[in-house]
Amino acid sequence: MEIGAHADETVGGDVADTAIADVQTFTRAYEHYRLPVYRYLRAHGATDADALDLTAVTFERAWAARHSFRPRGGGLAAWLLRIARNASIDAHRQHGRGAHATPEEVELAASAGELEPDHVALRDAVARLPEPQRDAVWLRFAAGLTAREIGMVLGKSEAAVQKQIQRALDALGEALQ
Amino acid sequence: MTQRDLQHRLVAAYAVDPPQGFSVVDKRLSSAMLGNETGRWHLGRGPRVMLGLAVAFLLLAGVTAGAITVLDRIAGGTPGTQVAWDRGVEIGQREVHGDFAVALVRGYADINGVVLGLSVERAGRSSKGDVPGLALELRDPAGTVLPAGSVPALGALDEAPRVDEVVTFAPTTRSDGDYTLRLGFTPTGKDGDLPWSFRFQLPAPLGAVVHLDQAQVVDGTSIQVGTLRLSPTALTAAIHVDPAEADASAWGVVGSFRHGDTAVRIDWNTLGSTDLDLTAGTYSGVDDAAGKWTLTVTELVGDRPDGSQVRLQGPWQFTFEVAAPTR
Repeated sequence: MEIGAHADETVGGDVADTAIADVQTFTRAYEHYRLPVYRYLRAHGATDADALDLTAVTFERAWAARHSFRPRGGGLAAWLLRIARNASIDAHRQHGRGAHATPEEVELAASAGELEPDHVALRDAVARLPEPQRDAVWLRFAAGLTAREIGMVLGKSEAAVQKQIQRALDALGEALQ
Repeated sequence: MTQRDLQHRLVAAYAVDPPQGFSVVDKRLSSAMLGNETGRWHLGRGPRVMLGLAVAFLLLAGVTAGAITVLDRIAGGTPGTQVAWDRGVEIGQREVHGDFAVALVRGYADINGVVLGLSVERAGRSSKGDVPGLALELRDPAGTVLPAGSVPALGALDEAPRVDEVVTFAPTTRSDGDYTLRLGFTPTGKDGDLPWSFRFQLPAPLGAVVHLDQAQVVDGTSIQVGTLRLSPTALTAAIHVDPAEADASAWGVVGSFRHGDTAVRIDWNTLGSTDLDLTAGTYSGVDDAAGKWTLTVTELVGDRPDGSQVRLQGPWQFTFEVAAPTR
């Protein structure tokens, strides 16, 4: 079962289906997606300061590449989150670490914030999932993407993403019992 | 903990806002956008003003967001729960026992479930101590106990004076009369000691239940649709599959619900009591279920024992009509 923030739906999907080449539409897209992007980056293991920096990098890159975005069929959320994911991977590589945050790094970032203890435990459990499941969970529950959008980010089919999330939920359910 | 409640918790766990807002990002992006635009197209005053207004709006929105309660935020993070929160009724009952006050803030019922908003806070000057959890029992007007999702964990009361939770329950079996919610803290709640008690009423559940029980066969694979529940918070269909490829399992469907001119994609599947049973649904619900519906399964996806995936192509199509409610 999937639950998420569904960022597109909160404004009726009009942001997702709009070109973002001009200042007005890009600003609307930024206003709409900056929080999902920030939350995804925090879930990915970034501190508040690093997540804000990477959010800025994401939208700077998106602004520079805005003419390449094609709005047909939506996909703005997936496009932005793919940029954010790549920015996060780049940052990890620049710091001499692997492409993805380790579970320990994710846990450390979670514990450094002001999260409720229950939430920290849950985030710790997610951090220990296999990487494909973990990324799908973050994109779903932190960024609010649909399975179809997650598939666009990760290069997988919608059904495959649904299965990854289902497996992740099963594993989390067992881990938290 | 049900999977639905686990998902609510995941949404809440990642609902982290930047403590100082996005002003740093706003400034960097404004600079990048204005610099870039000016260099390339000699930006006129109009777009500059527009961007300035947009940034001002963002700051204003940040102030407004700060005033939203945690319950609003939790509800707002979940599409189905947001509908329940918006359409729900104020209950506004509060009881104090010992060191804790419990408030039943808001409630909602439709044919896909009952949703209650609760707030638990330390009363008086009680010392901070370990609060392991809460036991809950909701009875509908027929006296039937409605299974809850997860029981909220209240460990956060060690750090904060109040914890807000949105709890989902199974659908009610009867709506005319009083619901009774009883609560107690574990471990006392384990012994049936549930000192907090709230009696309240909720409007009749919205939505329609359709017992379709139709099967379609495509290329040797049968899909049978049992009960559909069509409500403002969700559309769900109980599905039994009899696939041509028997050694695969953990089946899920891809497809859509169509109601009149509106089509909504199926965006989640849950496994049922057997490997061949599942529930497919979406949290894009409907206010008025009356009219013609089509459930289309375009693809059936399962896992083979070797980890590879099998994808059986449809479509399997089921059409049915929901009558307008009699008034």
